[in-house]
Order: sequence, then C-alpha cells, then structure tokens
Amino acid sequence: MRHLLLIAAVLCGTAAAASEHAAIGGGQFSSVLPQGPGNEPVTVAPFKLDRHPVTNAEFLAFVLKQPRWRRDRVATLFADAGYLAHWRSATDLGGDLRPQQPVTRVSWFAAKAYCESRGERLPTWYEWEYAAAASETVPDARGDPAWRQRILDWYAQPSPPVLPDVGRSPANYYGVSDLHGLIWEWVLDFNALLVSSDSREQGGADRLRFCGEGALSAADREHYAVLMRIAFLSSLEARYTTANLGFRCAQDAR
Amino acid sequence: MKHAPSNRAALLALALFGVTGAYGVDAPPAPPVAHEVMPPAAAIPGESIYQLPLQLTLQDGRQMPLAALRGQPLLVTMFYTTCQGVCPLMAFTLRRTMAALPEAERARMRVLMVSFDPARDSPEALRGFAELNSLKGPAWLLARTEENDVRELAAVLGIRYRQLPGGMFSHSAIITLLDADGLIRTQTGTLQETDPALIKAIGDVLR
Repeated sequence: MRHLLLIAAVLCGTAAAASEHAAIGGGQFSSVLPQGPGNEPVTVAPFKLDRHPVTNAEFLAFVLKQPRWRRDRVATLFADAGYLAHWRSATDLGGDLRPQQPVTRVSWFAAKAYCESRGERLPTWYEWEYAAAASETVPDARGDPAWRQRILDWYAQPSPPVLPDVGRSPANYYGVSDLHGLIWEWVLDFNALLVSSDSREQGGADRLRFCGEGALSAADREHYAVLMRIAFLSSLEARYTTANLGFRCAQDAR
Repeated sequence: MKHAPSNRAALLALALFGVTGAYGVDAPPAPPVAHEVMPPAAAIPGESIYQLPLQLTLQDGRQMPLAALRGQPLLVTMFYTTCQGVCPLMAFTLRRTMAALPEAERARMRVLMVSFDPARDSPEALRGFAELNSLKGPAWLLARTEENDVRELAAVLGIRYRQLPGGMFSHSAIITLLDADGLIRTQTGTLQETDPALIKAIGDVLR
C-alpha cells in the first residue's frame, strides 16, 4: 500500500512537471490598457496558460482530426489565403519546417477552434499581458529597465528567416516561455482592444473617452513593447494570417 | 427569391439522383422529401456569414440558427438594449433606411440586430427595445446569442466592442448589407441620415 502511494505520488509529480499548462494565480495589476477612464487596476482571475505557443506538430494533428481546418478546405470566412501557406501541403509540414516550431499563419478563428478542440480557449488580452509582465524571477518586472530593454531588443531585430523552436527561451516566473521574443500571439478579445471612434458614444463624452491614445495611461509609455502588441492585434481582422502570428491556449483555473 | 434555398435544394437533390441513375442503378423517382438528403451546409459559400454555427433567440422567444436567414438579403447590426446613445440612433437610421426603399424592395428586406449583452438582453428586453424604437413588423429581428457567438459574429462583421466596467459597451456602429447567400455587399458607418450608397446597394442586391 505504501508502495502504491509512493508510485502515485511520483506519477503525479511527473504529470505536474510535464504539464503543458502553467497555473497563474490571479490578482490585480495595472494594465497599459485600462478598462475605463482613470487608471484603475485590472483584476485577473486565476487561470492556466500554455507553457509555450502551439507548435506545427500540434496544429497538424488538429487539422488531421478536424479536416475542415485544413488549408484546402477551410471556409474563406475563417481564414485568408495565407493560412498555413508555408506548409508543404494541407497535411504535411514538409522538410523545411520543424515540428517544434510555433505554428504561424493561423487565423483567429483557426486558433480559437484549436483551443476549443482541447476544451480550452484563447487567453484574454489581460491574461496575456499579466503573464507577460513576469521576468524569470518576479511576477511583475515591468519596472526593471534591464528586463524591458531585453524585450525591446527583440522587437528591434528583424525576425529570423527561420523561427526558433518553442520553449528555448528561459521560462518566466510562472513557468511560461516565449511570451516575448518569438512570435506575436492571438488573444480571444483582439477585437476589443482599441474600439474605433465610429461609435458616437465616444465622441465628447469624457466618461467614455478611453479609446485610442486616450486609453493608454501616460505612466506606461515605457511599456512600448506591449503597446506595439496592442497596436498590431487591433489592426487585425479575424481571418488574417501572418508569418509571425501564432497563439497559445488558456483555461479557467479550477 | 423567397424560395431560392428550397429550389436550390431540389435542384441539387435532382442532380444527386441523376448521378445515381447515370451509374446504372435503377433509381426510383425522387421522393417528395428529397431536399432532406442534402447536407444543409454543403452549398453555403465559403465566405458567407452563414458559415457561422451560431444560434439566435429572437424577441418573441423563437430560436433559430443564423443560417436559417439565408435566402433573403439582410441588414445586420449589433447593439444592446440598455445603450443610451448610439443604439437608438442606429435603430432610427435603419428605420429610415427601410422607409426610404420602394415598397416592393422593402417587402423583401429584413433587419437583424444582435445584442452584445447576452447577460441582460432577454427576449423581453429585446421586445422592449423594439417597442421603444418603433421597430414593428416581421421584418425586424432582434436577437441574442451566446457570448462566444457574439464575439465570432462581431469578428466577421469587423465590429470592435468592449465591455466597460459599468456594464455598458463601447462598440463600432456599423450597418452591414448581406446578400441572400450571406456575403457582405456593403458596410456603412453613416448614422442618422440614410446612406445613399446603402440604398443603392440594397436595390442592386434585390435586382
């Protein structure tokens, strides 16, 4: 009996260590994109986040299981012509790609469908930003100039012709890799980040004046890298795909 | 026009049976329920909004898949009933747009307004908004759908929206014209006045 317990404990330990998800305790934090006027902290509920972006191999397994997401079968409403265009065929990565590279050239709809096939979802922007504020040692490293500079350096470099594999960068405080320095990532509410000024409700009324530049709190101008993410994501349509845009999945903590 | 989908179904069914006959099977005459053999999604164009699998609940409590609206052109917007500013203005603009159409065209147009706010917009709330804004008659479909579907519908319509801490929403106010197959024909952000380009596009779609 004691042996059994021991084995169980070892198994559980192994399972936890190999888990694809990092548990992220929720909390309040100051987002560069406040929810409303003023700079009220945003509350993030505890959640789980993939330790690394979804890979070519994982996405290939998904399209083989759900052929309507193959590039030759996907409805054009859900993905543009660049969808998985770098794969050799609809069902084959080809020799130039590695299975452990992050999958890119995926639309929001395809990314969302992948996460749903796992019983999960895309992370929200606030979840992504919250997790991405961590360095290797602290949950919120945004005040650390050296850390910020390292991230900015990535944005300053042209992307390499061949994307590195996932999980090569050091895991952050939560055990999550590649939030910076590898690819751009879809979030569930990409179309909520900057609401265009079409809405007449925003004109003039101070209580709703939060969109566009007004949304970004002056204190956070230093968070240039994160602001670039927001600008990039809010320029997208749900069917768009690009060579450096991938995703990872999240789920509510239970 | 109204019968376009069932005609298409019947034709497809005939074609299917025709093929069976061509391969030498002694095919019986097509049964009257032939259109039921057609997979309903098969003929929806790839870029059609009716590819979305979402379910609507209308102001009268009726439930239907979005794709059931296929077969007739449609004006679509998104709104929420507790919205004080732009949503009544959108309703007003849609009412004026419908009123500006020749009667024969108006009789063939419908308007779908889908709520951003499934938590609060029950069929009763939708009915209240319709009454308050004089959206009367069978052409006016006010609907709620689940939160995940709200996001997908907004995504295909290119509508940005965001819930504010007080429960209100900030959102782009866009009117979209879909043709009978659910393809986006035009979009307008013109409110209050009717957009002449929209009126013309409706005429073209119905022609």
